[in-house]
Amino acid sequence: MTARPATGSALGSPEPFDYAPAHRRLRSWLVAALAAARSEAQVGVQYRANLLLWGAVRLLQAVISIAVWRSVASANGGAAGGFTANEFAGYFLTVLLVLELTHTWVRGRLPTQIRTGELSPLLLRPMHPLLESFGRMGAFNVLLTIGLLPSIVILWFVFDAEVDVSAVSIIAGIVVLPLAAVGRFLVDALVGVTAFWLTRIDALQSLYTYASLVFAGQFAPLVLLPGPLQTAAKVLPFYWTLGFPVELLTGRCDLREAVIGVAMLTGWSAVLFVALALAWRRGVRAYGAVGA
Amino acid sequence: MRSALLEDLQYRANFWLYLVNALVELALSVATLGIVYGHVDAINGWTRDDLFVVLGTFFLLQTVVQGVVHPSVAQLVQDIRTGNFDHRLLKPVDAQLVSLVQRVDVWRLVGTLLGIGLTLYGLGHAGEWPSLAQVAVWALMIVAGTTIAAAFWSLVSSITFWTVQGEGILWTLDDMYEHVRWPLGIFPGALKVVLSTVFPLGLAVTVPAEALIGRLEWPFALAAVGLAVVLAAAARGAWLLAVRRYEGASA
Repeated sequence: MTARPATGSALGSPEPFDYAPAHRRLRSWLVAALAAARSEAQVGVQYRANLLLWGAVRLLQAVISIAVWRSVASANGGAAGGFTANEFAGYFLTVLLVLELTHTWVRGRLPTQIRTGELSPLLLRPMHPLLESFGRMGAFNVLLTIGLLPSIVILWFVFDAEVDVSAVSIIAGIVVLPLAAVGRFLVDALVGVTAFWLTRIDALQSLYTYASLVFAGQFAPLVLLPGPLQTAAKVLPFYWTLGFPVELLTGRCDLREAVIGVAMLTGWSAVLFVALALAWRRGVRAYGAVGA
Repeated sequence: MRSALLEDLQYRANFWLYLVNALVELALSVATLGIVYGHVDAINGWTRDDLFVVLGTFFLLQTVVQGVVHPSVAQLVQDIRTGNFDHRLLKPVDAQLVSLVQRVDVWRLVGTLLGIGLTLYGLGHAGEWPSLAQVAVWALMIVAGTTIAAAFWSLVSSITFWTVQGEGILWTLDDMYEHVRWPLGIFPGALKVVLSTVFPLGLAVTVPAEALIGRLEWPFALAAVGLAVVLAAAARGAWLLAVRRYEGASA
């Protein structure tokens, strides 16, 4: 079965997939996500300038974080919170990698689609709009990560980055990364879905951005946060979708922490999935009621 | 532009929205500074008070970038796509200037107060008030910084003429601006020079703050002014080239 990315209608199952048997549903979901991915890859190539700038901003962010914390480490006698200057470089370059591989746009795109009514035709397709979005991001992320790799390698050498990496941590990381991508997508989608009821969600968006910056371990490794913030971070979902995979990949988790992390990530994903499913169903009804 | 102002003033709810936004952003800035300065007293000689002055400049320039330039360029992108830009070109006012100031997000201008407040707090807490001369240099550097930011945006938005990028690129630029909370001065020598070159916005935010706290080195002040001139010229050139290639959405 081949899927045409342009229409996304070649799913093979004309009936709404809610009623299809589970294994066929899963298969058509995968095909749909792949079709969306291919389409996004084609679009992405056209929007090269934006991609280039996007990549540059991501690299810049990593360089600034590394530089800030290296300065802190050297002003502090060589290390801060158990991180040496070179380990900070390893941490933030891995953050860059994980951020890129799990990135989503649903938080910004969905509200626009809802406001402008672009969502209406998407709802008529046999593919769930959120699933399409997920597939698209997957392709975008892989493309961008491949594009960024050379720069990451260069920065790795420039900053003399160090990570305590082992075969086990890499395998664990590879297993956890898809989970983290799903978790992050669910959080983002939940923020985006609020646009069904709220016309302006700018404040919510920036609250989310900053919360994830601090609590996810993006601005600083979690151990460097003051105690109460650390506790809050371990309760909230952000850390488990970013900081935890990074710490796993850089060899900073023991087995117990890894198991707890996977459990937290899975648990949060399940909760978020249910919340999103409920919110989506109600949201679409509210959306229809507006007459769009 | 006046009609745009009046339109915005009607939506008073947005004021509260931006106020909440600004407060959240303020909380984040203070929190990140708290985290970093919980581990050290100074980075390369920059104290926490110094960084408050930098944040003040950050918010001041942000008001210009996100309150005026972003909405204006977003309008431009939309006009190009819909073909309304054709009319713009026929008008006697300079189209590039209009494209940078045609819309004002009035309520976002509350950021100005935040910027001034943070600057005064940083200076007052350190107890070192700048001299009149320093304030004059600060004003000059603010002009240079604003020019750098506006020219940079204009330069990038001219790309839309060639590639019909849409608004995505504007969000990327906003995102880029988010990273200039740190003065380039805290970075070690070579990195400071590299960042000033490849990342003009960093220089735009750093130099005015440096002027106020008496850390401005002349090479960097000159570099900022030079960069402002060069970027403005480049933005002008790119704009003229882009307009020449523009044939209208319907043509």
